[in-house]
Amino acid sequence: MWNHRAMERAIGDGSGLAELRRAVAAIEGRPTVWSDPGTGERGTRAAMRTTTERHDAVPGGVAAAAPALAPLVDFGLPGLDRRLGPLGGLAPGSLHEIVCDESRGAGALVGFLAALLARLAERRPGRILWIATGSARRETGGLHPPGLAAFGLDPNRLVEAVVGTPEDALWAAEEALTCRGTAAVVIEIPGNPRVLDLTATRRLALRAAAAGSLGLLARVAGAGGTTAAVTRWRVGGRASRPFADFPEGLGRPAFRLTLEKNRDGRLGDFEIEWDPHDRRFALLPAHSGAAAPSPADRPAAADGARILPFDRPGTGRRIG
Amino acid sequence: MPELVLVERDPAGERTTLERIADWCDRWTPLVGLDDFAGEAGLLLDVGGVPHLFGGEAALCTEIVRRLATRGFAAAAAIAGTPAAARAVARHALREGGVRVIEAGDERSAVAGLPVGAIDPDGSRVAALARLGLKRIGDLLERPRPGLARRFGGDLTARLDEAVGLLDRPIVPRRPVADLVAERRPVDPLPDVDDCLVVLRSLAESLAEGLERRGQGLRRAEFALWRVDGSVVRREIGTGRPSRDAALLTRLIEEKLHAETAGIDPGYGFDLVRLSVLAAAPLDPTQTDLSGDDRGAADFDRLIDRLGARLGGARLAVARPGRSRLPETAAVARPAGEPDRDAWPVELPIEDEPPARPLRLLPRPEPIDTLAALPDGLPLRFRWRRALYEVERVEGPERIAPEWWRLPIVPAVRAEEMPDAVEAVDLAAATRDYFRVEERDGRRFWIFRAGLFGRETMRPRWYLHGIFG
Repeated sequence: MWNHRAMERAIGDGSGLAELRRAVAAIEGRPTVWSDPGTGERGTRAAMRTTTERHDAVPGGVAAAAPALAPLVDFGLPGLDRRLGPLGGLAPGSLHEIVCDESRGAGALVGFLAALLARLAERRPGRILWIATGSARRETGGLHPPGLAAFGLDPNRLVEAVVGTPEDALWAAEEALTCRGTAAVVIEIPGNPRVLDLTATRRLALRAAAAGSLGLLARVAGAGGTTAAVTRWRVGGRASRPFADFPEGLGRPAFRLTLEKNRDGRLGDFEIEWDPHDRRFALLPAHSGAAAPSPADRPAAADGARILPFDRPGTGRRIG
Repeated sequence: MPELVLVERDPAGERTTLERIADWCDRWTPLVGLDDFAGEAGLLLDVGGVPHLFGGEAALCTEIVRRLATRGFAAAAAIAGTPAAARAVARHALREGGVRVIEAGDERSAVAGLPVGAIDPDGSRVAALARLGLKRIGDLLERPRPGLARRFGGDLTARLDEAVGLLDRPIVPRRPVADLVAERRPVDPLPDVDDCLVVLRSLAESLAEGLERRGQGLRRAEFALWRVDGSVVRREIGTGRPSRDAALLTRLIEEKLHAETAGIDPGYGFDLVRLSVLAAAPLDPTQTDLSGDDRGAADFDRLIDRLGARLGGARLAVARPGRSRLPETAAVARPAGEPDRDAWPVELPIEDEPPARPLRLLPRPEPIDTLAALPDGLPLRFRWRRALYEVERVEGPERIAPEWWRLPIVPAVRAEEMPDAVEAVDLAAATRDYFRVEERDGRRFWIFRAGLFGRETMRPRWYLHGIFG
């Protein structure tokens, strides 16, 4: 249904065969058209325009119908989403890496993942497969369904596969990424096993790209060598902001995020808060412990006042 | 006699061997029963409708005995109208390697000359009959039935009837009988497991046709490979939803075979390959045309089947609510393939509240050294896995009492007799006060104090149980 309207719009907006080709490619779910640097400025703009219109026309719930025109999951934070390429979020058919420094930081890592998955589950049907090695479970514990529910992620959507070795995890992940019935595949492999190299992650990325699925590689205490992931996020805990009615207590879950690799856009540091009830992220003002951003680094006002991007030296470079 | 070596009889070993032979005998008929008549090893095979496949009853008997002999087992085989008659003849009328086929109606004459013990395992009754001069089955057959039944019990006459073919007692097969079976006996043994896979693929196709005619889809199947030397490789596969997709079945079989870490030793090859449907369920013929969400769900079920075949189904789990209030049993893992029921209640998280439960729960609570303002006060700092954490924010306690109705009754103790540490009690029996804490670097943990100060213990212990997001 909607595909036709998108096509009409795309044809009406632009003109000529190239636009039509792009629209057809988009409907067929070939995301390569948009991530290909050679596509050109015009196609990218067209994609962004239809994406915004989609939000106006049909709020939520249709991302799965047209995988190439909308991200599978976004942060709902324009300043952050915009760094993730023209789609404004994690694109379908891509592999992303989420790492934390130490095993005691696994809470923040899982929190960030659970929040992303909660947003994803809202707009995409299907089950989420969470593959973990047994060693990950012994070290940092198993997923606790009541905790996931309290975080806004429906435990019924989740299937856990606990495997013996990183090799098994990678094999299962390849199979799962090929399946169109999965909403997302989480691959949790702690540390830096040798098998988790460029070749293995490239295989995952290719499978994801072919099926338009989303792979999230979760690495507790992972050093983050070269992988084929589109982005790498380093997650850490951040002091929460207490609620006004109970100043001594804990606030909403909060994270420090470093986008330290991004093939399609700029890098950056962010501090964000997760609201499990509304399934929404919010940017936090600078944490007292962190370096204060200089006003000059602030982006245009369109991003809203709460944005805290302190662009790192690597900003703007394309790192693949 | 210096050459004589005494070896103790090994009943368990004998039993295992007999079961292996029974497994192997599945090649003749799926209806194989273990026969423990009077403690002697035997097998009962229901060969109704089978012999013509092997050139007749006599040829079948000869073939079984010959094949067992080449594997080093001395056997005798008889075919008769009832299991009791066949057993009596095979055990008592035949020598090692002997074979006999008793035609229907000839049972009476075949067993008449055999000792009563051939049909009656009750030794004392056999002895009592012998004292009356009733040593052969024929002696009993001549006597009036009512008298025998009155004196020696109704089951004796029943056994007589079974032996002469007047009463049938069906063989109890030791394995479930398959709904549908497809098998192939190659002329030359297949040298390799991969060759068997090719055969299994064509078997899967013929089973799929059979299932389609019945309007059914497969839920559970078993494939079996008979090695030339007599051992049998059997594996089971299952599907999350009914299916008659031969390609899918082949794929599941393949995963199962490849999951064997050591690989399957083909020995001298396989001379029989069989695929059986153990359980089937109705499958609508139009169901192959799925669309949208249904197709996605079916795809996912197939994925689960495939992963399960290789990893083992229990490793693929969905969480279901547990029946206990203790955090460690609040959720139970169920195999992902089984139908959804008791699903997790879908509730929106409470607004403007930090999550009450952690995202991760440690396999077991880990003891931590904790400094608290008072024995029953809030935690100030703690040490977990050798790292020190300063508590910045804390919420609690949330008291989770042990489930007293599951505990043994313990009399109350006075303070001076109270155990120092709670280990002396039992972690499961101690009252727990849980705290949500946030430490200086923004990590959030779920810790608890075990044991009520002054009531359960004088020195409560602290544990870290979960990690918040």
